[in-house]
Amino acid sequence: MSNIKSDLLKILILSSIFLVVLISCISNNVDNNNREYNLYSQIMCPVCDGQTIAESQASISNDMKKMIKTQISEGKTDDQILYYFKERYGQEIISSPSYSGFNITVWIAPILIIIGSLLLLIYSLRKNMNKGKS
Amino acid sequence: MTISSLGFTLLILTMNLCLYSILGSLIGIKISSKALLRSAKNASYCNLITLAFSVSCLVYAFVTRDFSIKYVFNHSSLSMNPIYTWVAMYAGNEGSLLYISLVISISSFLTLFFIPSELNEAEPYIISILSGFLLFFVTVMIFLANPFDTFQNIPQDGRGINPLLAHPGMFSHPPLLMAGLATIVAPFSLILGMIFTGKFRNDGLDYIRTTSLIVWSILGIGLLLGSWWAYTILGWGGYWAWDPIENVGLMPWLIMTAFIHSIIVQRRRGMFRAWNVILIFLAFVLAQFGMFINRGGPVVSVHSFAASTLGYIFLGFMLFSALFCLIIFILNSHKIKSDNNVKSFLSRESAFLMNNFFLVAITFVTLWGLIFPLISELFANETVTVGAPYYNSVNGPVLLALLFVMGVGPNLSWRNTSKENLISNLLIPISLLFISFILLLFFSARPIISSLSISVIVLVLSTILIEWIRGSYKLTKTGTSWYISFIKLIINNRKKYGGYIVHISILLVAIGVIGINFYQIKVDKVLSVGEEIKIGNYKIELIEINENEYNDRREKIATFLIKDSENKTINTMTGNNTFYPSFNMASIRAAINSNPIEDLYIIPSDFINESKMKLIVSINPLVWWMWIGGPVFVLGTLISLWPYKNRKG
Amino acid sequence: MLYLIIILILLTCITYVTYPFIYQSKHIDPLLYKRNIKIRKRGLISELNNELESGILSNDLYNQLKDDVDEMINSELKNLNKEIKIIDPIEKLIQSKKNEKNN
Repeated sequence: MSNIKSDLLKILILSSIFLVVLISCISNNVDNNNREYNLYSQIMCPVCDGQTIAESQASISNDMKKMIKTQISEGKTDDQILYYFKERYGQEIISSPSYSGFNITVWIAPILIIIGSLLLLIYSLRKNMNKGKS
Repeated sequence: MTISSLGFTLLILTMNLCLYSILGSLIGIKISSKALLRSAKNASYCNLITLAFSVSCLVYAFVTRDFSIKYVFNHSSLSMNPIYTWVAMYAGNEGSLLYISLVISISSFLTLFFIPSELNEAEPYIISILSGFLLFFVTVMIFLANPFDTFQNIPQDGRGINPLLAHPGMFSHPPLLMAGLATIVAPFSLILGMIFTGKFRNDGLDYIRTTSLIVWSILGIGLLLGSWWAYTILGWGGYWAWDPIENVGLMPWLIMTAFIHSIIVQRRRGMFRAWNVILIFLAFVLAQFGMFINRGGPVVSVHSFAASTLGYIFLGFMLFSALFCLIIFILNSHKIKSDNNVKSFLSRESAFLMNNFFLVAITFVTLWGLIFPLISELFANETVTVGAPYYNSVNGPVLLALLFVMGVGPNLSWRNTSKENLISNLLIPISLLFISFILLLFFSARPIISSLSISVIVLVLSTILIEWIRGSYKLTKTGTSWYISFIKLIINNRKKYGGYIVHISILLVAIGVIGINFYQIKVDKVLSVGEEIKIGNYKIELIEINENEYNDRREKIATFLIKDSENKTINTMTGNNTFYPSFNMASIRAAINSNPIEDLYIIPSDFINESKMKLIVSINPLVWWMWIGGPVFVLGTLISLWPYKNRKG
Repeated sequence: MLYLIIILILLTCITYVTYPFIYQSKHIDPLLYKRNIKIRKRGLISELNNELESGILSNDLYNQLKDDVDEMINSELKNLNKEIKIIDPIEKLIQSKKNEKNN
């Protein structure tokens, strides 16, 4: 039994080393200053089918990218930039719905339904378990 | 008789065979005529012959450039490479219907040919359902979408094939995906057939398991190939995550995943019978929903199929299937319900239940995000977009919970897990989870959820490895070496260990997804010929820009020299931006340098002039692992399906 | 030429579809379902044996699960016997009708 314990200990050490190596490999890009592309992936390309301007090569996408770059250099925040686009093109230009108004349903409804049905499931399981015992 | 009229006549013959096989089966049951039942079964076998020949007619028309047939005109040209005939055949609406019909006839044949004797009573109903499903597609083709429709005046040359389709990924992704969705009818017909007999026994579950696994793996590979194709060929740097058309293929796959797991519980413990019926019904209806979305075009996506009014026919068929399933379930629920219950929260049954729940939850969220834009327009008069950020935020945590169950579940015992077993099985994995989480919190500058995800992956991997080592160790006591013991362990428990290998493939895909979602670097650069830029550990030099003109396209190719930080050459690679005037479409191919740690991904975004261009450069860590997941997935499925010789009499 | 193909296909289908009326196939063993359930039980028990051998199950759990399998199979056999009792009179009726036709 001690044989297997020492083997398992070896796994523990090996996997910790593997993990540290893995993290150091992918963490050397600490300057993950993806602010531009983070914003691009939140704006839809108005003439493409379902692509954000981060993915699309259309000229209007490039124009919008330029607009965003300019606004970043002017010191605007992410929210201000997104608001600017929403004002000009409507909510549909933003790649995910806002947290206000009717749109909050898209976020709230699944969360409520999932949590609700999970509680229901646990409750009915308990009931069946207790029925079995008595 | 022309090739087109032969092809069409065969479709009519198929329709009649289907009608005969349905009526023969149902009447045969009524009057208990074995001969009629066998005749009906043979009729459904004949569909394979008629459809195989019909497909051959269309292929022959493509190969001989017969532009009198409208479909051949619309999807090929004289200058098209003959290899792409295969692609052209299913690239359009009518051809894909013919392809799907062939697939249905093949899977019907296989399902019926290998059907075990346990399902004898259900067989006539199974035949009716399979033939009925085929009848729908064939009728749609004959009356609404005839692939053999002809012109009065024969054109000289065709329109050619969509340039985006001319790639090896196109050989396999759409046909596999369509086949996966269509063949869900096989396990569906088996379960429905069993219900129609009036007694829903636990028979035939091995066969249902086998058919479902095959269908599920075809669909899964089709989905992964699509991601691979999007990443390597479509040059956006993404892998089609949460694209609406891919979503409609993903949803049935998620439900089928729940089904193949839940079937295990019914097989071994006689439980979850109602769940299984609901799951397969749901999978089938969602597959029809997928077909509807693919042809109706009410959902906007980068690769909506041929948008057509045919969509509403498929919508109607989907609604009909949904209503039918609902009624059948309600009428038979008392016969379907299990006798046994889950006895403890810390049991494997309970883990499978959570597995079902989370998979259905993810499917529900995906469906909700897909149709919400329509709901928003109806009720709030506002157009919204529901894109990847939504799915990542809402589905992300549930996927994480699912991964957690994937790790913990197999370590719980059936019925109930004792405290000692719980600790001895899960102590090390849980400790590793905490250790990795804390390490990542310190060393990684990324959101907590990425650290949590990696930690959960560590948990799952360690649970699998520990069981493998424990199991092999026990077998080494009989005197065999570690290596032989491990092989013996897998061979003796193929179902379970094949499953473990599939779980590992899921982990590999998850690692790739985490890498590209949380650790990606992406920048825009402008580069002139001879100029060099530095990004990450790479130096990228633009060597030259070439322009090639062909009679169907204009290609602009950029050649890059990639060096590492010590100026050692890593690779020379090209990316191109090609414009097809007849389709008014541009296709971009990125230059990709891939290794297990990260991908260097260069998109030639815009060629400003002969010596200057715009690039999008991204470093995508760990994506390589995502594609390795594919072969591992296939391996695991094959091991899991490998039959035992001495089980059946 | 193409006419030949369609005629051949048509003939093949017609032959294959009418063949069962000409040649009667063998009778199905009425004890088939009972045998299949017993085969299934054998399969499940041997799976449990494999897992015991590989150390996945403890002895106690193995015995418990084996008892569960016995219980599940026995209840299915009981249901099957109930069904056979119901079917039997109908089968007799059909058989007698068929014998009338043949005579």
